[in-house]
Amino acid sequence: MRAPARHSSTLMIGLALAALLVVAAAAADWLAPADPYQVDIGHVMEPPSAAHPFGTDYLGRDVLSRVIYGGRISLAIGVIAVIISGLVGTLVGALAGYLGGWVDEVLMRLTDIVFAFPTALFALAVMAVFENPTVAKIFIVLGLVGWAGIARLVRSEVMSIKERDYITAARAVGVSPLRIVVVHVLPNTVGTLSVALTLGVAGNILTEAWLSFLGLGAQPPLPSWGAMITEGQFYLTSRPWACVFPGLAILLTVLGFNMLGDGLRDVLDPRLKKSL
Amino acid sequence: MLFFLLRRILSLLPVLWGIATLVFVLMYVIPGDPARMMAGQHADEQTLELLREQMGLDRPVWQRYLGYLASLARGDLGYSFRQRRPVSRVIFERFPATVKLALAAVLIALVFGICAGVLAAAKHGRFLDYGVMVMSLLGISTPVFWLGLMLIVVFSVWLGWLPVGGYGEHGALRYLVLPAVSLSAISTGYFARITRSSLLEVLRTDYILAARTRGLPERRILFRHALRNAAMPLVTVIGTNLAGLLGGAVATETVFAWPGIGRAIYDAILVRDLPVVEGGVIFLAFIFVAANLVIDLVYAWIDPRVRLSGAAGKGAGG
Repeated sequence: MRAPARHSSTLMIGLALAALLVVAAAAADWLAPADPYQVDIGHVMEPPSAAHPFGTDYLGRDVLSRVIYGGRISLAIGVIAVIISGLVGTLVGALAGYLGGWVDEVLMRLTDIVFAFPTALFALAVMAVFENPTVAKIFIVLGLVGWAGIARLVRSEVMSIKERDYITAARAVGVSPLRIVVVHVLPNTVGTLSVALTLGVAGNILTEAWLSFLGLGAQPPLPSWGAMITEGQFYLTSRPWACVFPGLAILLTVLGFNMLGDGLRDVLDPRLKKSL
Repeated sequence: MLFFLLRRILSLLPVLWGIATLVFVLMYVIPGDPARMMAGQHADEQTLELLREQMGLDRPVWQRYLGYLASLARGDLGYSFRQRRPVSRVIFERFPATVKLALAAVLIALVFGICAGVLAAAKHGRFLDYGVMVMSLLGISTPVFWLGLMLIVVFSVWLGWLPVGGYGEHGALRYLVLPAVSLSAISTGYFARITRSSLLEVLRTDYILAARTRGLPERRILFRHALRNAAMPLVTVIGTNLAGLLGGAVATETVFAWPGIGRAIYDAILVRDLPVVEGGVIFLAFIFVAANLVIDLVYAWIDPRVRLSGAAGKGAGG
């Protein structure tokens, strides 16, 4: 019903924003005008200027450089957590969907339980226990709480695919179940999966920013966007820029991955549109 | 209906048990001695021994686990060593403020989200539609706490219209506006998107076409016939959105110094008062699960098909 041109424009803007983040993170050493850890007590909380386009923070560090390096943390956490939940979810979903029977029953009950968890709150409960939250702990925790939706998706895809004639044919000529799943079934789920994973990256980056803001994410002096906003919060009323720019970075990044996911969904499978 | 209700409640028990067990595992693996945390660094060994015995720390893990589940079932969420009172007291005290904030946010999100979604669907493919789509995308992509801070800068610092934070003397409405608006942003975005897409779906069906051919006015078709059927997916999304809302409440209450459970959790994080953090999370998780039960029931009430098949809002996949 909708014009194809609009689908691709969502996809393109999303792709551009995501690419911008990837390039900034990869080339941070060349792009950042200053050392993100370089303290300069003589120039604290300065407004944006030619020397410091985004101003300086409460320790005189260059905010632009910290925002650029912060992209590395957000991207790493967003992507690695999604890979973990993607692997766990695919494994659980494929096993449940292909084997069926009691395996399906047990795995899906487990998935229902995890799916009913308020994910972010659960991540908070786990991170609060650690004396020293690290980036690695965050992506493991986020990865391990985020797989239930993916398991459901993969399961329903696998169940619909395994009834098709070419799978029955493969089974008839004696191809092993493992090979059928890996070579013939899973590749067909890539479309659906890529949408879910892309939206997952956006969600993870948002949750990480929230955790860091609460002091449970990457610890100082690491330039995590959420933590930068916490640090700038004390100067909010008189010098808001230390909060404004890291927040804009989060917004644009999450927007980028959301648009990329939406665009992929529209292009790959218009039927999926209504399931958010 | 009664059978359906019972089955839904029973199916929630494993979820509650799962949440409770995970929190127990977390509390059990914490490095450090709860008795020492309570008595302080300089307590002598005899006092510590007595405390451990009284707190049941000398019992085997499974006994402690069963005791923990039993006390949880009685509504006992543990003891805050920092505040020297039961966690349930802290939660009970803070609960009204969180309910007030969450309800206000849901209300704002429903009103604005549905209105925006209907407008977008009615003006499908035109400028207004794109405007709503862009705004809702921005809404679901903005970090709640940052939006709160930006609203403070604009409406409290620059314009001076609304207070920076706090609860107000008698819970004045002025104090509620900014926290509720910033907390509602993500849900508003989702509600607008789901309303729009399900309306568009319904507007394509045969009976709407039939209504059009009979020459019914467009407005009547939209509100009388289409919106009622488009409401179904919306009800489901309200439930899944609550998790985000409760998580967002922790950030929003922190930003606006709103004296709710979220702020209590944040304050507890700062001083590593773990019983309050974990008790607060368990409580919010239970609220989330209970709210989803209510939503499932509403869903079954609107749509008898759900009741009969038993597959409510979030049935397994497929």
